[in-house]
Amino acid sequence: MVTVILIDAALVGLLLVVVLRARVAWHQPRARIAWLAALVGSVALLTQGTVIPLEMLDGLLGGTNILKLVQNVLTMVALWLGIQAGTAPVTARIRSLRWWFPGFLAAVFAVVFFVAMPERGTSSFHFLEDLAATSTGAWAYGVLHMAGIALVGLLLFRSARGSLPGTRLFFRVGAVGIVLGCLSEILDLTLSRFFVSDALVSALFDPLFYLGVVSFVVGIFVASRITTKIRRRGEELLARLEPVARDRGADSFPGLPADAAADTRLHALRVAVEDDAIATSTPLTPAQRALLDDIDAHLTRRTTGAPS
Amino acid sequence: MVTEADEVLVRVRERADRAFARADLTPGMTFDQVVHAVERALKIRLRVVREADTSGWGTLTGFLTFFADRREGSIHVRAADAAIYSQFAASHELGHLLDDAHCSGALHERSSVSPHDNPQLSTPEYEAELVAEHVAHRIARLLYTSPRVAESSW
Repeated sequence: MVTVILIDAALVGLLLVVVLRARVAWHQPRARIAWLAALVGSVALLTQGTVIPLEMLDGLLGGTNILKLVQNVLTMVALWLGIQAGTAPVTARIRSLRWWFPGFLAAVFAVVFFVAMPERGTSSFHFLEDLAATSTGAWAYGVLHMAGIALVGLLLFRSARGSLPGTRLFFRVGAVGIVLGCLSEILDLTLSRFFVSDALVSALFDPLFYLGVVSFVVGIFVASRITTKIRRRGEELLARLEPVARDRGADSFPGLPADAAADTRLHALRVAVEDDAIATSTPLTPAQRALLDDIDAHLTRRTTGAPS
Repeated sequence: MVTEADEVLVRVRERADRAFARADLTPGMTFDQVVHAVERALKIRLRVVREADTSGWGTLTGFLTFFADRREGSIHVRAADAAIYSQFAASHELGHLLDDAHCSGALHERSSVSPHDNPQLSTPEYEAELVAEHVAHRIARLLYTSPRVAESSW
């Protein structure tokens, strides 16, 4: 029951990201990477069978637990896209990402899945755990898959250093949960295959992994809120600067494109105002100077460890 | 109908595009990295000097001295100005250096008076100042207004 709640909480969070960020993703190609990560993650969680019966989904693929492979690949791709969302250059696009890495992992997953487990039985939520107790092939696939996800989780942890300061903790806690969940599952599979199964170890994966996903989703919402605040701050500063510039008769740069971003207009107008103060020997008032200081702090913000 | 001002703006933009493309400038660079990129592109040495005593500068916000024979130059800005503003003034001088028509030892000055409002400038000087302003604004976009990765992610 707890597992179902955790899965559904993560699913609802990711679906909210998919819906609420759809407009941004439509307008900004760079934002599509993060949006696709949330979408793929949602589909991966849907294959858990908590909303749509597992038998129905797996039945579409032949009813031999191939859904598990699909779920594993989707989870890995979603996490990898999460890394790309935080680290790829601003100019990156979905098609320009280095897809060879998830492609290679997916191919390895698929080959080992079919070679190591030719007989997989009928659709079951715990098919891998059950089969691994008696099949070394199933154990090998489970360990390989969990090691792959743990590797991506480690890269996810590292990628958080470039995220907005207020979100870093959520992303790091999320990545730690995912990695520890994977390690606990490797231990659980190994104990049940070669030693004696331990109930405590068996119970660790779900809370660790899915709470990690939930923490990551919280980080996404916090990041979205901070980004909106930064954008609004720029617009607010521009709205305060424009009357100052008008009063001084200072125009922004004539060569500036009409559709220039708010920060670009802000910078051009800020320079024009200071130019006017020097050119006309009419110093800025303390309030105007304070406004320019605020603008400079906004324009020189370094919100990330990765500059471009 | 294309006016003379439109033709000038087209010429200025073309020159600014050429000048900007000469250096390998990319979004997210720091100001020092921009200066180094210009040094590399033009195979020159540059110093940016923040002048403390600018009491006699009037409307001057920065100037460039360049010695073509020695392949070195210096850009002088007012130490009292905010960093963003003095870097803009220095970027204007980088614009002169990158502008291939005006990189031959002349003294260049950036005035806080817009080239549009300065009747003392000859037509070639007026265009050169506009080119330098265009380049300075493009450098400013790299430095301050390029999208940040963290803000483009989620």
